[in-house]
Amino acid sequence: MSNLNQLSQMPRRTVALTEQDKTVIRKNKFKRALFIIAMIIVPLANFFVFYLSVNINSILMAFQTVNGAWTFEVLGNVVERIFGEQSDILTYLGNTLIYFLNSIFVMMPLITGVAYFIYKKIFLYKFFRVIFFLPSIVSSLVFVMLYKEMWAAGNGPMTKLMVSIFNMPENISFLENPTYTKWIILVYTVWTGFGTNLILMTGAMNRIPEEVLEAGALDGVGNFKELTSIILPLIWPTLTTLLVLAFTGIFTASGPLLLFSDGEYDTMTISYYIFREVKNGGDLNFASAMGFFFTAVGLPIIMGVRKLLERLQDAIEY
Amino acid sequence: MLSNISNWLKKKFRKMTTGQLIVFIIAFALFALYAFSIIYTMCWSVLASLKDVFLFSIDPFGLPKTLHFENYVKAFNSMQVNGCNLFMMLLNSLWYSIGGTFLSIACSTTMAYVVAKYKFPGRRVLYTTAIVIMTLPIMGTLPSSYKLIYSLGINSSPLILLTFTSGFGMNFVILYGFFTNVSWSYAEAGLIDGAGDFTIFLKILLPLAMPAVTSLFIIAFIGVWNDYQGPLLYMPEMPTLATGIYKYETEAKRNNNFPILYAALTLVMIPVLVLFIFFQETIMNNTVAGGLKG
Repeated sequence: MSNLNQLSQMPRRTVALTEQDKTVIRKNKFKRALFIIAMIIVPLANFFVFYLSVNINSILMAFQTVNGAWTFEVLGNVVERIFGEQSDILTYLGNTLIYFLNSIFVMMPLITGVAYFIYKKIFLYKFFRVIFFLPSIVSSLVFVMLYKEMWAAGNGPMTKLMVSIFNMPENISFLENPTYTKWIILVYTVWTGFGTNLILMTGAMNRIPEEVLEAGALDGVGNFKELTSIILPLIWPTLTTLLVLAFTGIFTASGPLLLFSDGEYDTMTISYYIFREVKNGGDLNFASAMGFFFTAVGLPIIMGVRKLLERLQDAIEY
Repeated sequence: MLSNISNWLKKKFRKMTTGQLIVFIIAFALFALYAFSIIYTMCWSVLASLKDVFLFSIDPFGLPKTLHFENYVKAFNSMQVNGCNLFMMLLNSLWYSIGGTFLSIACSTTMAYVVAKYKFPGRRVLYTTAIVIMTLPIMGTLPSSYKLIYSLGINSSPLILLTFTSGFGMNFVILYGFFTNVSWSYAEAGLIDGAGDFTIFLKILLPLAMPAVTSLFIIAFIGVWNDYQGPLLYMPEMPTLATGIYKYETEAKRNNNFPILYAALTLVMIPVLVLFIFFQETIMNNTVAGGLKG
């Protein structure tokens, strides 16, 4: 770019410009401005219409009734339904946190473990890498259908297995049960949830210089020690990035509830509640107020965790 | 024979201790089990699409005795959602995902190119905005977008593709990084030859970025193709394959016509699998890891 500028400025410095030269330069500048505008005008318009105005209106909607009158009542209702007697949103929050904690305490260790064996080139590792990624590219409808068939009331193989092992009633329906359904959906998210994070993790491990691990191997370090004491500190930046991403989803974490329970049977999460209100033509202002409340609560938490993890990242030198 | 095998194993795994070997064997067994569950699911849904309707309802897990390819014909003839048949859903899926992906990648590319390569007022602001948007954890704006899209009247119409023209996001960051690292001397050669800015972008810089753009395109396409929530909200009268199947599933429960549903599911699966098989290495290596350090 700087070269380009020099090119267009060169005549000005060296010789006196004729009127004709000036016109050419002006024309070129005009053409360049036109080019830049043409390249950014559409995405810029999109930003103003579909991002900025949507976000501003979302905040405004949180303080409006359906008829457009200004009020704090809608937000008050949200708070009431969290801390008041009804406390249904508190239940949704509980379910949301289950998905969130699952992503940190179950998925992260699992993904790290799987990434380690793929990195160590376990037999058929290239094949497994593809297999673990497949659920991220094949429509989840495919996986949900079979999974639901496995848990179907009556003749689903998993249902039969659970009934015989735990001596449960034969007519139990695991997909329509306030106690079990949310856990069954959670297991589904684990089954299909390796995807991108696994690729990122193996990518990070592959960038570790081989000599480091060879030195460890000479010292007779075992698999577990090698993973926890050598590899994990070396891939710390990637690990913290994934943790930050997981924390960003603290109040948006959810499973594919639309394909399972539509939020019934005590499976509702915060983000799915907002989605369902929109889908079913419910109270959009209440849904906006809910979004506003959890953004306001989540923002300092997420930013705080981010700062903390960044500081930890800086503290570890290798 | 046995000693041959054990010799081969010893050679292959001579670097490992017995304990390590056991750990790897257990891990392999678990991985194999996982792989089986994934492959089984996909094969099962293809097989289910070829089953007799009656047999499926009695034994959904058994193998079909005869293959009923006519289920696919039936699916095209009889599957109806909101007045759309399967062919129309396929068509909707195609224009929605190809159009949406094209616009989204085109806008990210032009925006990233200009911000990376040209100096103009507001350039830093654009870059900062892109980063801020990505990091701000705002939730619950769906009702507001829904209201806007319906008040603009672009729902259930190809105009919905306008929502895809956002230039920001992860793709912007990846492409910005790419263009920043490409030397401007390529363009200078063109400038000396008297080429304009558009020509330089289209003929010189864009071809250089094509591998990255292509892999971003494929990944975005897969996402849009599989998305059932967006079209469900914004295109109720123009169901795509994914939303059509979702809606038909609730009806299939009543009609017991699952094999037809699985025929449609197989149609959803095939394009993505074909793309993945052809571009596997590109998808795995080029993009996802590109934006992260570590």
